[in-house]
Amino acid sequence: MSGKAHYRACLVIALFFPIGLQSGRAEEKFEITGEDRAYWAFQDLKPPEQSGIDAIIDAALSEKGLIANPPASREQLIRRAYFDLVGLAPTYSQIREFAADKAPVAEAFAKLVDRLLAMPEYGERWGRHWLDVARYAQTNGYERDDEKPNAWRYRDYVVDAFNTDKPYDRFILEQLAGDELADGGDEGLIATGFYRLGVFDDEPDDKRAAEFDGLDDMLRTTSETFLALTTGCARCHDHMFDPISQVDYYELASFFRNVRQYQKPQRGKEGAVLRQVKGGMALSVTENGPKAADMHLLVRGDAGRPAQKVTPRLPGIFGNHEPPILPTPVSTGRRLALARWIADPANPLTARVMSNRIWQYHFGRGIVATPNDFGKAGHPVSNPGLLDWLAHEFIKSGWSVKHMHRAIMNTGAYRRSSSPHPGNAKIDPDNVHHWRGNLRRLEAEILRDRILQASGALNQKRGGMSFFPALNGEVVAGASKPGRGWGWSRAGERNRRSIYAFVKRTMVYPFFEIFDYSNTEGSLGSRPDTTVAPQALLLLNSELVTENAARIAGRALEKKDSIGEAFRLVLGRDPGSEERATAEAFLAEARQKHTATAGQIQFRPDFPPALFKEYHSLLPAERFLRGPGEGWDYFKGKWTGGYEGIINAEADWPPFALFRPAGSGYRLSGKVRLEKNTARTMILLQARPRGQEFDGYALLLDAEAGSVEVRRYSDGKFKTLAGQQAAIPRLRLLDFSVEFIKGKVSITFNGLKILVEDSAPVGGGAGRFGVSAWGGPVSFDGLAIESAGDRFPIIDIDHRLSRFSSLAPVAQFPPGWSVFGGKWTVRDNVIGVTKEKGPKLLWDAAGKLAGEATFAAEMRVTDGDIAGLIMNVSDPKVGADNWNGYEVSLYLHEQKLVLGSHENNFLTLASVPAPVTRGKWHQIRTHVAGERVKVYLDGRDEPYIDFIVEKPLAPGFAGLRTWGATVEYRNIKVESGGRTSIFSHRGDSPPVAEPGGIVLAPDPGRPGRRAFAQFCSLLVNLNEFLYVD
Amino acid sequence: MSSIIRDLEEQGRRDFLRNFGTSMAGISLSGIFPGERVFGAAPASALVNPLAPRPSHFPSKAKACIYLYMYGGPSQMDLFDYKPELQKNDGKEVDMEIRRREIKKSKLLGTRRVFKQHGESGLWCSDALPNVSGHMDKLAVIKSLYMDSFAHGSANLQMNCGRILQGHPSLGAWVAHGLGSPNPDLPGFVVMLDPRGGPIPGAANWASGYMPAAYQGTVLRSSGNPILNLSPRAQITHEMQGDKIRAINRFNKAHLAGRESYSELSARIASYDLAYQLHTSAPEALDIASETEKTRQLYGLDLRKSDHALSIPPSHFGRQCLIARRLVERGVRFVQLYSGGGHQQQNWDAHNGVEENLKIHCPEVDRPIAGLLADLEQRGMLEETLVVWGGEFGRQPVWQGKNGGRDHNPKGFTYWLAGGGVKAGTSYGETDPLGHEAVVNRHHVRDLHATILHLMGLDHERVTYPYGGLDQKLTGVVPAEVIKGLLA
Repeated sequence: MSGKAHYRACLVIALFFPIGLQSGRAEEKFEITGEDRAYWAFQDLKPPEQSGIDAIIDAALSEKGLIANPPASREQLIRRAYFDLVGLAPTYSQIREFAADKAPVAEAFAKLVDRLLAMPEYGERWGRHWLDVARYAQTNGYERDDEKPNAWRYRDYVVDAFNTDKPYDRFILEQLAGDELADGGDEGLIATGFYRLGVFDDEPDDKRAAEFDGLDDMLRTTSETFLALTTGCARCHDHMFDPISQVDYYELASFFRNVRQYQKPQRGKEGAVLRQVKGGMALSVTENGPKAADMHLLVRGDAGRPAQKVTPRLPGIFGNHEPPILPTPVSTGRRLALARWIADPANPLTARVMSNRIWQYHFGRGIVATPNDFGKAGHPVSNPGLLDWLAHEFIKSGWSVKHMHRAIMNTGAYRRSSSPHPGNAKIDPDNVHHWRGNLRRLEAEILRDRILQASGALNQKRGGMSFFPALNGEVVAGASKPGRGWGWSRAGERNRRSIYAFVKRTMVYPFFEIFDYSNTEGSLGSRPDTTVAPQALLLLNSELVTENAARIAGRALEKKDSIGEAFRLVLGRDPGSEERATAEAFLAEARQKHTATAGQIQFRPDFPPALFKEYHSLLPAERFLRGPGEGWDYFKGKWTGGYEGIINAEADWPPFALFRPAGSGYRLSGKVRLEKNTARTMILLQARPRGQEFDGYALLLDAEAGSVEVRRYSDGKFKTLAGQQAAIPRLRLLDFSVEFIKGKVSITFNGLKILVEDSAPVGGGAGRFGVSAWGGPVSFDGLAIESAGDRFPIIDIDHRLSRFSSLAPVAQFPPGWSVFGGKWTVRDNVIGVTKEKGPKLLWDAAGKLAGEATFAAEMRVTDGDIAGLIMNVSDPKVGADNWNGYEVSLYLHEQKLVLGSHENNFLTLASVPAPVTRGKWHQIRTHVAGERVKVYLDGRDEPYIDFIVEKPLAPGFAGLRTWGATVEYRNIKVESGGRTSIFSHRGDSPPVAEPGGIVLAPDPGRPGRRAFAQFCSLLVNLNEFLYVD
Repeated sequence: MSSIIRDLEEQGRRDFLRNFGTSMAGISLSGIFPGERVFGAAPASALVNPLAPRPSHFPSKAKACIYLYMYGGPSQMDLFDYKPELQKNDGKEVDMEIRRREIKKSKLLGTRRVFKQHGESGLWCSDALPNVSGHMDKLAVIKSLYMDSFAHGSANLQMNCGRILQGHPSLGAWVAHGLGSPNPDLPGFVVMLDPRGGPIPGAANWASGYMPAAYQGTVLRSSGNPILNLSPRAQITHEMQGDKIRAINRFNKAHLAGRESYSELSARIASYDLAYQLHTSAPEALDIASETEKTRQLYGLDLRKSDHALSIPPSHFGRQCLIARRLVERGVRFVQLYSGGGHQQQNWDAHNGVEENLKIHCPEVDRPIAGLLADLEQRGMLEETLVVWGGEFGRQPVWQGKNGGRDHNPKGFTYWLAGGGVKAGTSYGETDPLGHEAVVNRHHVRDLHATILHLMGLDHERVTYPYGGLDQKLTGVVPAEVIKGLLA
C-alpha cells in the first residue's frame, strides 16, 4: 500500500518537473497583419491639420447636425472648474465674486483656471487620478495584508509632480527607472515605488509562479498605464485582439527581469524594496546587479514549462528592435531603456494615452472611453483628430499637464452648459461629440472632502503619513484578525483630505468603496459610476455625515438667517423663497418630533465580538459603546482569550459607560427600551471604575434568557444576588428604578419588585451609575436621579459636577445653563435665586465670550446685598470662589459697583460709588475688549468703570452670581463674536424683535438644534450637492 | 464586445429614459410610501442600477444559492470520503506532497470517526455529522475536486473568485452581475460571518473586483445593525427619516427640472426610496421572532455549546441558516454563510488535531445544516434553491503535529450540492485510495464554478465583464466544463 502512495508521489514529481525543456515556441503561429499595422493607435503622430479644440469639435458638430449649447452660467462654471481642478467647492463669496466679475467670461475664466492651477489642492486632486492608474494601495493584500512601509512617499511624490507640473516624459522616466537615472536622486528612488504598489502574496502556493506573478504585475501595470496596451492576456497565449504575441510578452517582461522580487521589508532597513532617502525610507526598486538572469518564454504561462530564451525587445508591432541598453553598476539599465522608448515623442501611444486621460477627467469620458485599453477590445476612438491634436499639443508644450488643462478648459467646448437639447439628444444622446457639458457625480473622495469643507472641519495638512478613517465595528468584524493593520487617528487627523486616508486592500473605507472608489488591485482607467441604495444609506445615516451635519448646523445657527447660511455653506448659494418655505416646514415638523424624543439617550455597542489585541488597545473606549458624549465616561470591559492575538468580548463584562457625577442615597429611574437585536443590557449602580472594569451593582436585563438578575461586581468577579425569570419585551419602554442605600439594593422593573440585602456590600459612599448593552442598542427615556424629593433628569444635570449632592432643580432651565450651587428658578424669562454663599449659574449656550464682548442683564435684589454678572468664566466648580473670570457686582450695603477678578482668589480691580437700591431693577452692562473692561449702569452713556487689566483673562462663559442675596434677573443678553444671544426660557419661541427692530436668533434649544442638524444632513443628500453641472 | 455591461452601456441612458425615467420619477416624487417597488417597476440600465433583474441564459430550477462555506478546509476523509485503505494502513509511512513540490515522509492517519452508508442512496457519511447524514439522499457529493493552492489566502480567493490572485470578482458578485436581483428591497448577494472573525483575506472573498461595487457581497449581521448605516442615529425615528426623504425629494424635484435627460438623477431619487424600504425590509428578513418553536429547534437554536473553549453554540450558525432561508424566500440570489473564523482551531483548519477540530465545529453546523435542508424541503423551496457545502480545500491523509492534525490539501477534496437541478443521492468522482489526490472524474474548482453558474441558469462562457483587454470570466481562460454527473 505504501508503495502505491509512493507511486502517486512520483507522478506528482513528474508533473511538476518536466524533464528537459519542452519543445520550443508558443503553440500557434502569430502574425501581424496589415490591418494591425494600419490600426489608428499605432500610427505616428502627424502635425494636426485643424487649428484647435473648438475648431475640431465644431466641425464634428456641424457634420453631425448638432448645435452647440450656449455657455454655462458663471455660477456653474466656477463650480465646474473648482471640482475639476482642486476637488473642492468654491465658497459662496468666491462664487458671488466670480459672477460679478465685469471681465468677459473667457477672460475671467482663464484667470480662474490659472489661480486654481497654482493651488496646492490641485495636486491632491489630480494626483489621486494618477493613483487610480498606478493601482496605489498601502498594503499587500492576501492573508496578512501587511503594510507596504512608507508607500505614502510615492503618493506625495505624485501630488508634488502634478503641483510642480513635472514634465510628463520625466514623470515616466522617474517612475519606471528613477533609480537608473544619473540625476534621479531621492525623487527618482521614491518614484520607482510605482513598481511596489501591487498585490503581493507573502505565502504563495508556488514560489516559482509567484515570481512571474510579480513580473506580470509590473508589465501589465506599465503597459496599461503608459501605453493603454493590454498585455496581461499574452502571458499564456497570443493576445486575442491586439498584435501582441506571447513572445512579445516575455520579451517585454525581460525589461523587468532583474528587478528584485517584492520581499517582506524590514522596517527601517534597506533591502529589496526599501531604500534610504532624505528623511527616512522609501518604497523603491532595486535590481540584482548589472546582469540579469535568463528569461524564457513559459508555455501556457506555466512557470514549470520554460521554453525558448528571450531577451528584452520591443513588441513586433513597434518594430521588434532592442532599444539601447546601458547597464549601471547596480542595474541592467533595461528599465531605463524601456522608459526612454515610452517617453519618446515618437512613441505613437504615450502622448495620446495621457491626453486622453486628461480629457476624460475633465469631461467624464475619454475620447477613447477605455483609457487603459486603446486596443481593439476597447472602445473605438470617437474623434481621432481631436486626440491627435491634443497629443501633439502635449508634446509641443514640453509635456506640460498644466498647459493641457489651460488648452482644454479655455475652450467653448469646456464652458458649454449641460442643459438638454431635444434635437441633439436624438442624434448624440451620449454627448460623444461634446455639444454640451456633462453633468457629473462627485467622486467618493471629493464628496467626503466637500462635506468636511462645508462643516469647516477639513484639515488641509498636506502630505506625510496617512490617517485612518474611523471604522464601525461591523466593518472591522469582516477581517480574519479584526482590526489588524488598522489604526486610530485623532479627530483632526481624521478630517484630512481623502487622498491622505490609509488604503488597505482588504479593508477599504466603506464610504469610499460604496461610492465607486478605485479598485486598488490593478490599474484602473475610469471608475464606474453606480447609483445604489447603500450610497443613500451612507449619506443619510453615516457617522461622517451625522457629525458634520451637526457642525454645519452649529455654524449656520450662529447667523440670524440660519437657513440661508446652511444653503450658502452646503450649496454655495442663497435659497429661493419656495425652498425657504420647504425648509421652514421641515424644521417645524422636525423640531416638534425632536421635542418628543428630547429626553432620550441611546447606547449602541459598536465592537466586533473578536478583536486583534493591538487594535483593541488603540481604539478609545468610547468607540466600543457609542452613546452621549458629554458627561459619560466609557470603558472597554473585559476581553479574554488571546488565541493568535485575538481577544474576545465577554457578555458578563461588556463595554460600559458611567455617568460622571457620583452620589449616594439616590434613586435612578426612567424607562428602558431594548432594541430589536439587543440581547441584554445592564444598569450599573454604585459603580466605581476599576481599570476597564468596575466594582458595584448591576441590574441585568437578559432578553435572550428572559431573566432579570441583580449582581454584585467586585475584585474582578461577580456574584448573582438575586434573579428571576421575566419576559423582557423588546422595542417597548419599560419602567424601572434602582436604589442602593446602606447595603440594600431595591429594584422595580416592569411591575417586578426585587429587594436584596447584600451581606458584603461594595461601594459605600458615593458611586456612579452606568449602562451597558450587548447585541444591540439600549435606549432610555426620562432617565432621572431622585434625591431628597427632587427629580433631576440626567440630560439636564451638569456633568461637570463631581457629586449629586450639589444638584439643584435645574430641570426647568432650558439646555445650555449650568448650575454651580444654589437654588435657581426660572419663570417668564425671570431667573431667581435664593440667599446663599456664591451660587453661580453659567450660560454656556451663549458661547464663550471671546475678543470683544458685551454682557448685560437687569437684576433686582429683594433680600441681602451682593448680586452681579460674571464673565470669561473658566474652570467653574461649586463653591464660593471656585472659578476664574471677571465679576461685576452691585454692593447694596456699600452703594457701590465693583469690578473684580477671580483666579482662585478674589481681587478687587475697581470699586466706584453707584446709586443702587434694594427692590429696584438695575441694569449692568459690561463690555470687554482685550485688556479693557467697561461697566455701564442703568443706561447711562458714560461707563461707571473703565479699567485696563494687566493680563486679559482667557475666553470663557457668561453667568450670574450672587453672595448672600435673594435676587431676580431678567433681560439677559450676550453679544460676542458677531452673535447675539437673548435669554428666553421658552427655548423654541420664535425670534424676538428687539426694540431697535433687529431680529435676533434665540438659542433654538436641544430639539431645535437637532432638527437643524437634520436639515443640514438633508442638504448634503441633495442631487445638487452630489452632482456638478 | 458581447458582454452584457457593454451592451447596456451603449444603450443604457437612452433605454432608461424611455422605459423608466419618467414613470419612476413620478412614483418616487409623488410619495415614497407603502409598497412602491421602484426598482421592480421597470428594468433600468445596468449603468444606473447594476442590480436590475436580468434574464438567465437558459431556464433553470435554482433561483437562489446558499453557500455553506467551511472556512479553513474541512477534512474529507473524516466526513464524507470513506477510505478503507487508509484505515487499513493507519500509521504507515508514505511519501506525500504536503506543500507544493514538498514531498515528505509522513505517517498515514486514518479517521477516528465511524462511517456508515445512509438512506436509499447508500452515500457514506461519518458519525461526526449525525444529523446531516439523515439527508444524504438529497446530496450530490463530489469527491474529486482539486484546486491550485496549498495556502489559505490564495485558496480562499480561488474558491470564491476563481483565481489564486487577488483582484477578481467573487462567485456571488458574478451571479449578481449575471442575474441582477429580483428583490429591490434587499441586496442581491449577502454574506454572513462567523463571530470569531472573517476568513482571510477578508472582504476580498466577497469582492466585486474590477466590476462595480454594487455587485459585492453585503455583510449582514444577525445582531445589531444588520447592514452598515441602515439605521438612522439615535433619536431619529423611521417616521422622521421619512420626513427627511420626502423633503429631499421635494428639493430634488426642483433640481430635476431641465435636467430630466440625466437618468442618474432620477435613479438617485429612487435609491432613496429603496434606502427607506431597506430600513424595514432588512430587519424584517432577519427577524426570526415570527418563526415557530419547532422551526427554531429544527435549526438547533435550542442547543447549547459544546464544552470546548473555542466552540460557539450551534444557534449561531443555525440562526444564519434560518435567516438564509428567509432571505432566499424574499428573493435574495446568493447567500454565503461562513462557519469558522479567526485562526486554526477556531475554524476548520485542523493542523493541531483533526479530532478536536471536528468536535469543535461539527456540532456547530450539523443540526443547522440538517435543519436547513429539511426546512427547504418541507416548504417546497429545495427545488428552487441550490445548497453548496465545502471549504477552500481539503486535508491530508497523514499526521501533522503531535495531536493528530491534518495539513492542507488542494489536490483532492469533497464538496456537496443539494437542491435545484442537482442529481440527489449521487456520489461522484474519487480520490486515490488514501484520499490524497483526486483520480477518478477529476475536476478543477473552475468546473464547480461553471456548474454552480449553470444550475443558476448562467453559461459561464457568457457571464463576462471587460477588463484588462479581455472579457473576463469567473472561470478564467483555461476551459472549464459543467460537471454533468452532478446534474439531475
